[in-house]
Amino acid sequence: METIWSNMLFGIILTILTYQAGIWINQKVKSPLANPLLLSIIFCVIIMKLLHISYDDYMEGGRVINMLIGPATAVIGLSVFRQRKVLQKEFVPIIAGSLGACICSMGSVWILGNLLGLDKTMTVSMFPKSVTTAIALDVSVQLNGMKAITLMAVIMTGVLGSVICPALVRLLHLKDPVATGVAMGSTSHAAGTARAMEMGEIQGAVSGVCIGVAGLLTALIAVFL
Amino acid sequence: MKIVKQIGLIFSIYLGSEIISKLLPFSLPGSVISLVVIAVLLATNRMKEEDIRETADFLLKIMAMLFVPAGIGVVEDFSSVQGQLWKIIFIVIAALIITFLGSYLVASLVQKIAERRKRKYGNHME
Repeated sequence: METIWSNMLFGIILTILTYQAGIWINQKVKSPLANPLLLSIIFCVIIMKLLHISYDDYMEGGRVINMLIGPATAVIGLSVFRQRKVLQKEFVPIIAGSLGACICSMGSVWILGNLLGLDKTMTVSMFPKSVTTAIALDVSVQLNGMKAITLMAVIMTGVLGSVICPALVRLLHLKDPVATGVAMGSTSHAAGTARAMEMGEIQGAVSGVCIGVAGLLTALIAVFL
Repeated sequence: MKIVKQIGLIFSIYLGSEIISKLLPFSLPGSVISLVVIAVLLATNRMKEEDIRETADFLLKIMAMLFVPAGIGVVEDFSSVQGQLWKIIFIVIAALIITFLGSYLVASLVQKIAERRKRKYGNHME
């Protein structure tokens, strides 16, 4: 049996099946808390523990999936290009709002991390938590952070953001659709954009552009850190 | 053959960007460079959307799934987080609210300023 688990295809199949299950549950439950990625990770870990499959065996196939992250980040360039009309029309609020988000995000993490006496490496790892996962992980490496903490913070920001951000919009009666879109996308990346799309067309489109813009700005700011 | 060409093109752009990233005197991730390269190639008409469309859409669609292996790595590596977990959760939530409001305020403020300028400019024109 061991030879089966270390077959490259096993890790790939396990990932695909658990992710499909995650999507299925997400569609049934209809809650952003039932995040397919989160569910898939949990299912994989449970299955691996039950069948005594080692992480290294899983990673034979996991590596292949991991390898696609780079090219997948590259093609975000296409989705930015597709939204060029929105980007042109709302250029100033998108750039200013995304920059505001980057500064608020990194600044608040830095201040809170210091106040709570969080380990410096961990604080740095949380700097890119508001941007899309692929860019966040690369920025984390760039800052000598821990990828594991970054990934955790990014997923948490996405999942919690898709619950907290709409609540803030309702609670504070925020009416500006463009600013709402900017804030959703540059705070909670893809998960925020999914919720912004439900709020309205402008919110969704602007939020989508801001995933790319905020990611880019964060990487650029990180050059100077 | 179309898909093979698309994969070849996207992977080449990504790998090329990784090389550029290594050559730069400062550290900018290759993935970010490749994102800009693709956007610029498309905007300047040096590459057509059709050259990468199907493969790009496929990659964009499965993006979230690509982080499953990394996520399992986090669980495997959980001991490094223990004891700090509540701090991390607190910071994520607090920073989330600050970031959202900060971003919203800036984005709505610049729009208001632009509007006021436009109105002033309009008055001058009269």
